[in-house]
Amino acid sequence: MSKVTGKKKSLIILYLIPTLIIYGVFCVYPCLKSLFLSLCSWSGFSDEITFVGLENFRRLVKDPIVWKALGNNLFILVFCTLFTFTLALAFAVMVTKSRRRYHKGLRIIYFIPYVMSIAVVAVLWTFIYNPSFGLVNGFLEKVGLSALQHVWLGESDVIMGALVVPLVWINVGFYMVMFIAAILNISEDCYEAAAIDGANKRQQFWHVTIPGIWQEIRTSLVFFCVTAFNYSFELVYVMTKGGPNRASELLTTYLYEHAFTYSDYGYASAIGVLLFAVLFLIIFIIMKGMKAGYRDE
Amino acid sequence: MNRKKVKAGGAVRDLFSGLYGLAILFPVFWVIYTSFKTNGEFVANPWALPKKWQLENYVNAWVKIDFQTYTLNSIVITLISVFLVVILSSTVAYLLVRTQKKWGEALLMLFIAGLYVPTSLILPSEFTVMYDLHLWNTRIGLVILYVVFSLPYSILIMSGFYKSMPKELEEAAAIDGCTAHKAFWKVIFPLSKNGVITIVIFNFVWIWNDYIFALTFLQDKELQTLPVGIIALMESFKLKADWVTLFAGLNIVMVPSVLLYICFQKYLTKGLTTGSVKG
Repeated sequence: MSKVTGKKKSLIILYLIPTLIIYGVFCVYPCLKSLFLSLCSWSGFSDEITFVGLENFRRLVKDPIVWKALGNNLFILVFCTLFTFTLALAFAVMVTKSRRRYHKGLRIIYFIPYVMSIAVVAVLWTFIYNPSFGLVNGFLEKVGLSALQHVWLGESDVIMGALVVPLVWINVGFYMVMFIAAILNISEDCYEAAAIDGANKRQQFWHVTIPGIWQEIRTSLVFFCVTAFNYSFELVYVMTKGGPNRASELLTTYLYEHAFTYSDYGYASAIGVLLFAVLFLIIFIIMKGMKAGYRDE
Repeated sequence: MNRKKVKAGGAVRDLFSGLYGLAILFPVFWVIYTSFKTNGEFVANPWALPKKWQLENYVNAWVKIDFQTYTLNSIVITLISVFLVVILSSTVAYLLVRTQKKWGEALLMLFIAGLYVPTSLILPSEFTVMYDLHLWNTRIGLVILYVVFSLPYSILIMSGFYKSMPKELEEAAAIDGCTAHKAFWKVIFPLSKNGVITIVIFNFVWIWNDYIFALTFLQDKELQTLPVGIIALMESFKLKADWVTLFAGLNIVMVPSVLLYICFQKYLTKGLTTGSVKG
């Protein structure tokens, strides 16, 4: 036995140590550095890093754009999650046990947006929303609802809604596949027992399917919160750059602007720390709130 | 009565799910057929099919934007990154699962904790690290970042596979006189094939499609990848209102990954569902 472990030493030196080093240098260290920089004033390229304590955070609290951006982040998080998970769950239930070719086809189609680059999705939806030739306005005109036409990416009261749609569009297929796998893991006996007890399809959904995949829903939710920050950032960065007039500004785009346009690394890092705290809080709430598990009354 | 109700419900569901499918397919087809039109045709009626299918837009997009360079960079960077992730994540996951020490468990947690770091938050400090190490604006630097940020998910998947693998296998290999190396690559690694397929596909998709890392950590046009190329194309053609060339460029990026997905969709959906949501 100890012989086996002894032989592993060469593997450890060859693979574990280098991987640990690059992971430490390029992932752990930048995280810690962000934390440190949030307490400093630094322009990035000078050798002068001044420790300013909580100054950046004081500035943060007084910055109206930060609050606006935080609101937008939460807007995206709430509505994207709501629509993505509802649709993904509904479609998963519909297609999981179906042998119909129609459903198999839909399963393949729904996943397509997930394999596209976010850059492609952003350009595609910029076209779809284009006020003169875009599909949305064109469609509204064709069905006689011209009154609902908007400059979707240029009006501050519709822009956040307009940004939620592509985000949902990308993710529904992915979470549907996750839920399909989870549903297939539920033992067929549970459904049979429920059917014998006289439960109809709807009751089976609420009392067998949902409790059966509760754990997966929770894990997916946490995972989605993290990815939603990244996806929304890239999408907004390409489609609106936070405009018009900061109406679609996110904490992430604001952070990027401060770091790479103004070289204000201290403030950018402070925004990052705030965002991380928010994310941590949300994950904590999800974990705690759903920990009790689904109570099947 | 009851059966009728069920049937009507089924029809509504079919209609709704069909419409949602259309909301995905139609924009994709729209971009494809529009790329064969002329600008005049497109402005006159954005919805109509092209009168004469012509390839000129593709020639324009390919030549003017130097897609060749972008494509080559994307292929090289993605393949090298995915290869390295597979080697590193499978060996590390195996070692950490099999060392029955506290530090093995702790390191595993450290790697998996990386899943909870939104990459967009650490871009500024990452930038300074890359700059100081002279890795900024180099392909090698980008590859390192792709590998590092692929590790958490890949190690999570692979460790799941190794945990379920019986220990006797490696002991048998050791008794047969295999070195630890040989035992791993000849016996253990091939048995985790399904896990490897999963991480290959998953990492290929995100690295091939990544936009923000490439944008932030590469500057020279000659080094850039396809997603950055398509945005550059958009920025330059928006002003000229040369829409159809832009549509053609979009297709050059979009169609290969969609086709690739349709070919491999069986593996992809199967792979993604193997152990990935078990938290």
